[in-house]
This record gives sequence, structure tokens and C-alpha cells, in this order.
Amino acid sequence: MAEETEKTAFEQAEDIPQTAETEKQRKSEEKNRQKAEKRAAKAARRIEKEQARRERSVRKQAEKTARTPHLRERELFELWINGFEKEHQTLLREYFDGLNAHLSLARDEMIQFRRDFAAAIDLLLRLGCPLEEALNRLSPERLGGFYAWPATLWFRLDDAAKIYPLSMKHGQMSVFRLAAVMKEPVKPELLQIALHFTIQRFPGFATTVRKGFFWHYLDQTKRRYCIHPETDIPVRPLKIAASGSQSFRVLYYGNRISVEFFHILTDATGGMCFLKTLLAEYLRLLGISCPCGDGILDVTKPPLTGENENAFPAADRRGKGSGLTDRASLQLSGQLAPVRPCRILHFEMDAEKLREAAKSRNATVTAYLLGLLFLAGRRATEAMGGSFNIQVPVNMRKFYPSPTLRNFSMYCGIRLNLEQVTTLDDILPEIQRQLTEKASREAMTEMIHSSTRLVNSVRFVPLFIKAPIARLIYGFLGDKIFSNTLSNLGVVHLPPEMESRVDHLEFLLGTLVSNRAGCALVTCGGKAVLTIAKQTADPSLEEALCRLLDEDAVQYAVKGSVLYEG
Amino acid sequence: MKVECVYPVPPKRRVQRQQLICAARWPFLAAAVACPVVNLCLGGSAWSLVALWGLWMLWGDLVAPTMVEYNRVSQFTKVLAQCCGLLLLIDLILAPGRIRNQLPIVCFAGLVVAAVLFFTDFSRQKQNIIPLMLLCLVAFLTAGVCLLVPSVEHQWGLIVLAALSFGLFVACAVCLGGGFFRGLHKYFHIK
Repeated sequence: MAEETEKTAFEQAEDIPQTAETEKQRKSEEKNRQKAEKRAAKAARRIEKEQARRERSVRKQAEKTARTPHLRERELFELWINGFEKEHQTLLREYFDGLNAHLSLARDEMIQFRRDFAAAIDLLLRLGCPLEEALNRLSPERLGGFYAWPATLWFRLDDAAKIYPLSMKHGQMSVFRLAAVMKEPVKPELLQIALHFTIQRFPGFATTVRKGFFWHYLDQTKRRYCIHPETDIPVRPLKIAASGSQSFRVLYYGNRISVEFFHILTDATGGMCFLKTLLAEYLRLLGISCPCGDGILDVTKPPLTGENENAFPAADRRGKGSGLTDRASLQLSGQLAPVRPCRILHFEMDAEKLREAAKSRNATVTAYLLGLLFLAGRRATEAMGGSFNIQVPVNMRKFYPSPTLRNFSMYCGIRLNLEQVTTLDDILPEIQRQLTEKASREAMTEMIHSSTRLVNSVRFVPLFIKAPIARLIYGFLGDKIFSNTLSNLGVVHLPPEMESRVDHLEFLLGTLVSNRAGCALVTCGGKAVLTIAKQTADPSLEEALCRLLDEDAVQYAVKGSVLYEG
Repeated sequence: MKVECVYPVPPKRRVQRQQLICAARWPFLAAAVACPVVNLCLGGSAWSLVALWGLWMLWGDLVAPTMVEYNRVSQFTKVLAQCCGLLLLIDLILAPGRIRNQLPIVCFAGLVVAAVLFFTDFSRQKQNIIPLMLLCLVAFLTAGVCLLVPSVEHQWGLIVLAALSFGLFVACAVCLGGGFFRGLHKYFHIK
């Protein structure tokens, strides 16, 4: 035990330096550990700092991107492209490079353009179209140089258009609508591209109304012309005051594609040409090729000079010159609505049945419908005397063939005294006689002559003097010399490829001043659609018209809008 | 008669401009008639002319603004010209000789603002250059004519105005480049 204790003491004695060394080693290790810990902490702090810096940078970048839509757009665009396969990415990049080369617009508009085309590509892919085919249909070559060249063109107003900017007031503007009701719902993505391709073929439409010292004029505007979903009242006035504003609008709703024009741009014939070309482009994007011709223009060809000319001076200048003024006429009895038009009604009829009904009474369709409107008007007024006068626009192209897309129509008034309006058989011969006489080439030439003379006589009067005087005169006269309007656009021929996709066409006249109704007829694909734009809530006119059609066994379906109230 | 609805129901309408015009028409007309009548009855200076000018400005700029070319440059140019006219009228009728000296300052400030409005949105506003150029031309000619009249005081104001309007006119012409004569042609076309 003692030995053991001694040994232990020895060992303990020997252990003293050993423990000091261990201690030293331990201390050294401790130091090293602390150093390592310090280094690690330092590294961690550095990493943290780096991370914070990166986060700050990302946040700043995100803020910057949010402030600048084009950067966000570029990121979104990259994300969109990266969603495709590698080889498709290359195709798409080449495609959008090509698109950019065709555009020289403001940055926001370029972004919108790219978005439009990307949306159309997406839609075509969803519809099962291969990418190469989709890019081929959407080829930017169809834009031509329109969006890349500076705007240098301007157009004088034609003789008929000169009155429209002078006579317009807030809430009152000569706007008309042409619409095509398709058999399938409209694809807005493709309609937008169709408009991009179509508008460059109609330089006279890609314009803004401007004031000159003596006359208004149309100044070319290079911008993204856009379509809108239809949410508001049809043919409401366009806002044309801002820089670069457009004088027409393209709308879509369900199956319907509508184009509303300020009359300063064109008449119904020119408007129909635009609508048909737009439809042809829209269908081509859907993979249905429609041949050009018969009012469908080839958008890949440059516009012809004659398409934008004022065709009025080409007409003969003879005769005494008359027909612009007349005495006041009876108006229907309903009170003028605060919102105008307050209702739209479409009478859809079988064109053949309508033609037969007219033929059975030895009248043309226009004369027959005029007869119905006189009789319906008679039942919609409580006046005991006076005369009805229905305005009938006349297309001057049938007398003076012209390729113009501008206004080239005049009008005549078919007038019957109230006591003359008895039965259809009694009034039709008189209506037919007046139509033949008043819508003749001679009568129309005289009218053109007087309107040209009027325009020439005031051409040196400054606009700031002309405008208030014209507004004053128009305010007194307005459309009081007429009771109603019937504009018959006639039979519109569509190529079979288009006709099989279009259910029917519609034609709608815009706001009038004191007339309670404006009627327009268009026939296409065996369907005649008579549209009444009502300015009064009183339903007497349409109810009387229904009774008259029933009496003549002409079948119809009435479609339209709700009654718009202020 | 059964009507199948094929149009959307429009949103609730806000107060329309035409309703405002209808509401404001009669008070404005009444004021326009009353001012000269009261002025004639009371006699004295023709203050009603100033009132009528003011009413016309209010009507044309606020109640029923133009429906064509309602953009910042054209509208500002028009208001500036009208303000100068109003000041001149006040000077002639109400405070002879007291305001005409301030006219070059107002005109100068107006031209500076018009130039800022124009050049800060050049790509869109270049369509509206002609009204601005015409205003510059009128300001330059008016200042030039006034400088030739020996009785006009504060000639420094007129000199500055003439220099600014001439400079601005030249700047606009340079910006338009080849389009300058085309712009004049379309503005002054008579057919």
C-alpha cells in the first residue's frame, strides 16, 4: 500500500511537467479553436453581409423593374421564351427580332405590340397550330414599313366630310357602325393582330382629325391601333381631341366584331371594305384563307392613290344646283331620350322572303321598306298635318365609279304628306316614283354641284369664323328636314370561305339630333337585317313595324339592346 | 314584341359633358346678357366687355372645350393668347397704362411654359407645333411693332420677349426640319 502510494507520488512528481505541457498544448488548442471560431464568425459575418448586399441589390433591381415596365416586360418576355424548347426559343427570338425591325414607335407601344404578338402565338399554339405555322401566319412582313416609317401623310377632307367636324357637339357626332356576327366566339388576340395588319392598308383611316386655319384635315398617326371589348352603348361619340387619337374603333362582344367610324373618314361602302378586309385577315390568322377582291383588299400591297381621293370633284358640274335645304318635317311623337341612342333593335329577316314581299307589290326592297316606315311613322305620331320626309343616302359610286374609300355618297328625301299615308299599296307607287326621280344621276349631280359650290364659297373664311356659324345653322336646322333615315347598303357579297363563318352583318346609324329613329339595312348570306337606332323610349314605331311585317307574312326575329337609361 | 338582348348592359353613366353644358348654358347666357345691360344702365367704363371676354374664356376652356385638338400645347397656347387679350382689354378699359407693361412678362412666362410642355413630350406633341409657332410669330411681331413705337415704356421686357419668341420659333422650325413647310401647307390648305 505504501509502495503503491510512493509510486503514485513519483508518478505524480513525474506528471508535473507532463501536465504543464498538456496545459500548454491545451491552451494552444484553445487559442487555435478560438482563432478558428473567430475566423468562422468573421466568414459568417462576411457571408451574411454578402447575402444582405445581394438581397439589397435584388430588392433594388426589383424596385427598379417595377418602376420601369420595359425591364419587367423584358424579364417576363425572357421567362415566356424560356418556357419553350431550345430550338423554338431560337425561332421565337429571330421572329421577335424581325418584328422589332418593323416597328419604330414609342417604347410603351413597342411593348404592347410584342405582347399582342406573344398572346397571338400562345393562342395559336393552344389551338393546336404548330409554332412554325403560327409564326408564318403572324409574319411581321405583313406590317410592311407602316410602323417603321415616320408619319408624313395628310389628307384633305372630302366635300361631304367637311360638315362633320363643324357640326359635331359634345355628345353628338356622326358615327356609324358596321358589324359582322360570326358563327363562333371572337378571338380578341387574333383580332388585334388582324387590325395591326389591316390598318396599314388603309392610311386614310390611320389618322387624327386636326384643325387647319381654313379647314379640318386628317393627319397620319403612327401608333398601335387597338381593339376594345364592347361594354358601352353602341355608336357613342368618339374621343378625337387628344394628340394621336383615332377616329374609328374596333369592338368585340361574344360572336360580334364591330367597327364604328366617325363619318369624317368614310361612308358605309368604304367602311364595309375595311370590315371585310379585317375579317379576311382575322380568318387567315385562324387558318382560313379568303381570296382578295370584291371589297377585300390585299394588305400586302400598297394603297392605291384613288382610294384616298376626294371623288366629288370628278362628278359632273352641271344643273342649277339644289337639294341641300328643304322645309321642316314631322317628327315622331316620343320624347327624346337623355341617352342616345337609347335602344338598338335588329329585325332579322329572310332576304328572299323580303324581296318576294316587295316584288309582289311591284316595288324594290328599299321602296317597300320605306313604305313600311311611312306607315309605321304614321302610327307613331299624333300630328294631324304636315309631311313625313325620309332621308335615303345614295351611293355615288354607282353613277361615277371610283375606288375611293372616303365619303362618296349624297342623299335624297322621300316626302309624303300625312294624309297621303294610307295603305302600302297606295303609297308605294309614289315612293317608287320619288326614288327614281330624286335618286337619279341628274338629281344627285345637281346636289353635288351645290355642295361643291357651297364648299368653294367659304373656303377662304377662317375656321374660327366658319365653325360657330356652321354649328349655329346646324343647331337651328339639324336633321329637322327629315323624319327618319333609311340607309340600304344593299347585298354584301362575301367569298364562300368567309360566308360560311359569318352568320350575318349589321349596319347601324349613329346619333341624330331631333329624329327619333335612324334605320339601316344590310343583306348578306340570305339574311336581311334592318337595324333601328332609337332616340326615344316610345316603342310605337317598332310595334307598328312588327304589325305591318306580320300582315305581309314576312317572318322576322327581333334582337337588340336593353333600353339605355341615363 | 319580344327582344333578344345581344348587347352588354352598359356601366352606370357618370355626369356627361353635355349635361354640364346644358346646365351651364342658361346661367352663362343670362350673365352674358345681364352684364352689358347693367353696364349700359349704370354707365361708366365698358367693364362688361371684360366680363364678356372672361365668360367666353370660361365657356370655351372649361365648360365646352374644343372637340378637336384638345392637347396640352394647343390648349395652353390658346389660353395664353386669350389671357393676353384679356389683360389688354383690362388695360384699355379699366386701368389704362397700368397693365400693358406686365404683358411682355406674362407672355414671356407663358412661352417658357409652352416650350417646356412641348419639348418634354416632343414625340407626341410635334403634331401640335404649328399653334405654338404661330404664337411665337405673333409675339415676335407684336414685340417688334411695340419696340418701334417710341412712347412704349419698359423696352427691356419687349426685347427679351422678342428674343425668346424668335429663338423658340427657330428651335421649332429646326425640330420640324423638312416637315416645316409641309406643316404650313396642311395648316393653311384651302381646298
